[in-house]
Amino acid sequence: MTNTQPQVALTSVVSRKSIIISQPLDDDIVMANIERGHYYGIKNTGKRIWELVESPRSVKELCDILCQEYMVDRTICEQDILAFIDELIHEGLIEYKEPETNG
Amino acid sequence: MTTYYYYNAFGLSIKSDQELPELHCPLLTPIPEICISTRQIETTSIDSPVQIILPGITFQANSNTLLLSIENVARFLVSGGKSIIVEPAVSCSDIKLVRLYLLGSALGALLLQRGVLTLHGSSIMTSLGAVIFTGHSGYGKSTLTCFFNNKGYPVFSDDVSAINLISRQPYISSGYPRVLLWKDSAESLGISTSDLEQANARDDKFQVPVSINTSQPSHIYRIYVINPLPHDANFSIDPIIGFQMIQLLTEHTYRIQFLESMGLTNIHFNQVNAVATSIEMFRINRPNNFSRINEHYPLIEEHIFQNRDIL
Repeated sequence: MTNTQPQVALTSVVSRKSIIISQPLDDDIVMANIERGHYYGIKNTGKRIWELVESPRSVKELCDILCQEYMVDRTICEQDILAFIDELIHEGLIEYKEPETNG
Repeated sequence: MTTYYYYNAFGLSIKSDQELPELHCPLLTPIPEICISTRQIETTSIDSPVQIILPGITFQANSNTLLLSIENVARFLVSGGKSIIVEPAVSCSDIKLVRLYLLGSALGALLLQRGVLTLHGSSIMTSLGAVIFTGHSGYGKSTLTCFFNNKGYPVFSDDVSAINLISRQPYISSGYPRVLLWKDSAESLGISTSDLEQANARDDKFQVPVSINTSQPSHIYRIYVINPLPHDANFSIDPIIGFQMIQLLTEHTYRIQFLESMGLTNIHFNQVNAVATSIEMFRINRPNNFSRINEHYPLIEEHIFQNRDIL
């Protein structure tokens, strides 16, 4: 394992990696990272986040949507989502980039 | 002149230059799908690292070819989903042991090359469709299969179940017309091993002939995963849903180690998903207690015919 864990920020823009295959199964979403030969399953809010990152969005935008949809404290929501996004990046399931600055 | 033998297993026609008495239905076909030949394996050009399955059992594989080496038994070169070359070790005098690996791991690799999803499990035919019992070695798949066969259910295969997807629906074809049982397992079912043929000189396992389903491939109705519990635990059966189905189908995929080096993960993921969306899966939590087998088996039989909605 590497020590250079990705540290996404609220402004980072995240999206699914195109190589990841995912599909719904019962109440879960199941997915495969073919390059690594690993399979994953996610449910509940994780599943909602996966739906939302089908197109690129900032982490802040994700928090906005989830705070509207679930009864959750904003600070806790941001912490949990940042940790979850870090995990998805670590497993090679999503990619992130810093927002483009003008000029 | 070489004599050839013709067989049929897992829905495929086989031509072999050695006799394979474990297989059934000698079937003549002008163009067999699989050729098994016994000869020396020439130098191979498999440019991939040697991977160890168990001490003395190694393999190398690329997308088209797999070389399996069983120390002091044989080497097998499996190519293109079409051919297996068997090279018995000079030191090996037990031809049955060579066939055990030929009809197990080597044929398993060939099925993977053909894009067939192969589970480590035994399967039976019921009036509702095929039922597969999967689980790790020693969990009682074969004993359970023998119990059902004694009650009149035809068997598709023992230990390895080959699944073909037709319009994304899973179908199973018959394998070998015998079940391998350890001596104590056979005795627990009241089967005497004195008249049975020993599977090979190394293991205290016996070949129990079973009535096999030789009709067309059958739709798979359910998969039961055998989960052994401590001796004094309670027996129960639970449904498995969602991602757990994918995890268990992957865990019980036969020779899963071969998949990644053969570049077949993509196909495998789609296959297990197709299976998971069209069948029902349950876990049999079974105390590991031979003396209570006769209590538990009828409960499994009863469960098979119960609707999932009321379970």
